[in-house]
Amino acid sequence: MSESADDGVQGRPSRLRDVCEAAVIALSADGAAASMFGSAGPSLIVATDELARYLEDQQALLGEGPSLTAFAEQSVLALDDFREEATERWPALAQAVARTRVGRFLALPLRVGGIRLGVLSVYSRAPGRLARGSLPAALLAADTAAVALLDDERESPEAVPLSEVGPHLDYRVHQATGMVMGQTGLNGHDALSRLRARAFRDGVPLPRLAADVITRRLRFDQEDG
Amino acid sequence: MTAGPGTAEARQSRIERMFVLLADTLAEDFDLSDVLDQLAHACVDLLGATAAGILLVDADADLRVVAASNESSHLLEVFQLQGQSGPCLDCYSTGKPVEVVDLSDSANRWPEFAVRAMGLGFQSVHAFPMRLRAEVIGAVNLFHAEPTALPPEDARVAQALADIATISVIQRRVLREREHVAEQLQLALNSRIVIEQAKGMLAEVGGLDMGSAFEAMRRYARDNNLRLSAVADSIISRALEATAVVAHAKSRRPPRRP
Repeated sequence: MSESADDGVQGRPSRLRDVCEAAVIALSADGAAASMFGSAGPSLIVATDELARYLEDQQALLGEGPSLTAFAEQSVLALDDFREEATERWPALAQAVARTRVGRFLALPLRVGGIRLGVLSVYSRAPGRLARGSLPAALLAADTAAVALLDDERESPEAVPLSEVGPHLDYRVHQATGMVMGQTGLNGHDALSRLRARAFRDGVPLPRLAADVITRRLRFDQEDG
Repeated sequence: MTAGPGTAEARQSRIERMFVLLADTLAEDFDLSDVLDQLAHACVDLLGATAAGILLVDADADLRVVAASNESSHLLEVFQLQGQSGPCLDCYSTGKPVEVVDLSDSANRWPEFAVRAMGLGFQSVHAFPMRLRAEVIGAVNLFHAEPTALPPEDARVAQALADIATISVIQRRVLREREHVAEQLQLALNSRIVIEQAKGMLAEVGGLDMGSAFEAMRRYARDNNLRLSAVADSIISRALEATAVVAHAKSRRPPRRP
């Protein structure tokens, strides 16, 4: 696990943490965690409580579990009863969680188009089906968390206005992301981060900065970004 | 004013072909981005529209463009704009078709949209709801260059195309499960984002505008019998060289349409 995991429970103030806490409330759940998936596997970024953190740590350690499956398949995974379903699908993980009080578990991929960032997981102590109508809220939380995760990589995430973090980026931002990838050789994640950092530094709304990239008034290959 | 090139019989057979094609694609593991792209073009071909777009509602209840008959940035912008304030939003909110025969008469109803649309040469707008029982998940939009009142038979065709778009988004196997609708919608919207990212990469590498970048991607997908969204994904993950897609398009002019 990366050292950033230590920030999880202590609670470094972050937008991602706010989103996780909001997801817990919106879904009447008990805890949530967000992990970023890199080439070395998942690393926990934030967890709202010890159990949420433990569930992600164990999955990363054992290399199996719903969060890993949700990321690999890029689809939502909802377990009505974590411990029961783990017994069949992930035997090692089942042992690790046997003494915990985890019931319902939801794992949502965090992505921006083709950029695969990580997973948001939300658990409840009580087993049972996700309440009817809750999935849209969960998906909205995931969309928001994906962008918040990008923000948390910056030095002063608290300075970003909430309106800028909105779950949806203008389609020009997506086009500009592709163009910056082409200019710099960066992957999508880093290209988007570069765009956001530049907009923040220049005090320009992201869509307007993106429009400058699309109309070729601004390039990213000759600057330090 | 009547839409559609050719005779009524010719149009009828094109509609039938469209339905057969869609029935085939829906029966197997089809590519949603491809189907929506074909539907947008079908609206233009069958209804004599100048441009057509398909918008879906996202988890935040905002309408987002997922397909358009023409990928120019200006057009996408206008489609997006009217999803925020325009006939498309009204259609979505009421669940009923909206007809604007002449935008000049509606300038004060949607001031910003009317000015922008007329600026691009559009004079008439129609919006048809994408409805799944009581739920509206988006809208199909037609733009005409001339003031246009759609004849009832054309309006029925447009609504049928909107219904097909709905089914292709939702997929039959999940029709019974209300919760999956939200997930399917998010999947469709995310596929569109991948396409936008790939368009940007191709535009940069090939020195193309966004419309040509999309054409290049579509041509590569068709000629290699690949799914459009799979090609977009490969470009973004760099499993497929953007230069190869651009080079393929340049070797294969002029473009053809199915």
